Amino acid sequence: MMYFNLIYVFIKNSIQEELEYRFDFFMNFFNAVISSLASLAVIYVMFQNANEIGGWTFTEVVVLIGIFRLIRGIVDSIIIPNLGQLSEHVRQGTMDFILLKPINAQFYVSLRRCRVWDASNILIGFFLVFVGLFKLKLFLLFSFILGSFLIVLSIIIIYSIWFIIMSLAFWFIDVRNLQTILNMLMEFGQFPLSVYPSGLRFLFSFIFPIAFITTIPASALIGNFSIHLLGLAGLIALIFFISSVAIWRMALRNYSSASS
Amino acid sequence: MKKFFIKLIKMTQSMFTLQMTYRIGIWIWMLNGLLPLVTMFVWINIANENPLSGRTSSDFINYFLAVIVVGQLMASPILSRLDSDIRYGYMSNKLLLPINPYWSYVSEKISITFFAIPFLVIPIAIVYFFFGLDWKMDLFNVSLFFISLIGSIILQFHRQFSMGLISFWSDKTLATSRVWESLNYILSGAFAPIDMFPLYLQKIILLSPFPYVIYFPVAILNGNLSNSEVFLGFFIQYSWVIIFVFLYRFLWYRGLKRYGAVGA
Repeated sequence: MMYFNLIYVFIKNSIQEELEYRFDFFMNFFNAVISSLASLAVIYVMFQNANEIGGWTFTEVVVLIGIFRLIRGIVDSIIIPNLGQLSEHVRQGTMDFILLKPINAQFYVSLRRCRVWDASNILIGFFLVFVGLFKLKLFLLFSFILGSFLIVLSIIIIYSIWFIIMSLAFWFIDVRNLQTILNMLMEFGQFPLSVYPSGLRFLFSFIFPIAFITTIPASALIGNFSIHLLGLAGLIALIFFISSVAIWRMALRNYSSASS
Repeated sequence: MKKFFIKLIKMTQSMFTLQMTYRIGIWIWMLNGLLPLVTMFVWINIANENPLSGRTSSDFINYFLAVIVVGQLMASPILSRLDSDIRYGYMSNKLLLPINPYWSYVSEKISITFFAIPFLVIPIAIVYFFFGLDWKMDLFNVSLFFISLIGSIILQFHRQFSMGLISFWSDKTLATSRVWESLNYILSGAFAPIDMFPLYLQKIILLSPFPYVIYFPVAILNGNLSNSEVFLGFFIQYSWVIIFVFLYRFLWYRGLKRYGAVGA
């Protein structure tokens, strides 16, 4: 219960901080709209030359892009502002203050901040998903619940990946650059997994499971689900989350503050 | 004149030494240039499943290889560099040097190009050995390619420079440049070849500056353009070069009058 209260306080506090930069919201929203239109335009051009890509129709790809934008928004507004700071905490030794707080330190470093203005992609993501489902005339309650559940799993997966990579800061100090690589790999989630050659398909399913982050939730929403994939998604989310906790514990044992 | 070149070479050398200490960061940053690979796989998939689309999968591999090579030569951090130089007042140090600050950005661009070499050699080698390089490599076409490449580099550099100078007036330079990047995503040809667009759109796009940074040199190298298209392209490209060079000079002298370093 205390943790729910804390989340409420964290969000309230972040919004107060962000209200100073209200103009940024418009810039951000405008940028997110333009960049969504840009990726839709590229897909439009692709469909000028093909009826389907990787077995997906245009509207289905729009749903997929919606999910991608949604996850992108969560990464930009919650994951990067928090986990991107991990390097700084280690480098300057401010990690000490976090460890001294009477709450779970992983919880604190992961959810302390929230950049509300960077969340425009979440709105656009929802919008695209609903427009896509509306055009497909798909309103199955079951697939909707399943899809939402898979989206939650995909957030856990992307969070854990980010957390594992950023925890390397305890050994290598400044790893913020590695976020460039994570961001780039995420871009592959804009298209269905079936368009990539088989080697990459394996990589994107089990090593950097972008398939479980965008393709599988999207295909559940448009009605192509199987119970096997649900189990597999749950298993992968569980494995990644447990590894993130394990690596965090290992990292803390290795941590010896700054200047000591 | 000789003195000037000595200065420029020395500046490039010291910039290179400086960047060498951040080499891992620079190489990781340059990985961004591999982003067109994402859409390349989609286009290959389209070509394999729809033989009527006009291009085979190996055409797309050669096209996107050229996109990556040309894209790496376009990459430079000067936009964000100008933004921080102006807003935090580092510009003052550059103004004290016995050479126009413009050249210190030019030297930064030249020296960072050396770091791109592995990103040029490795992709070309991979395509050469595994898929076969299919660029139009006769002397005439290669010289056309280099003329367009130089135009692209000058165009891109002055475009970024002009946008970086917005920082004299506003602190939203980086947000503005993101709008440009989004437009670039559609219109530069780096993610979707311009000749795959509907015809009426192609005509409009080819009048804008966007395709002359990536698409134009890439299409020449792949031999996709007829002679008349090439010469019309050169005309538009170099017109944009002139426009952006004038724009940068205008903004530079206007902005400098407004410049007051932090703490002044």
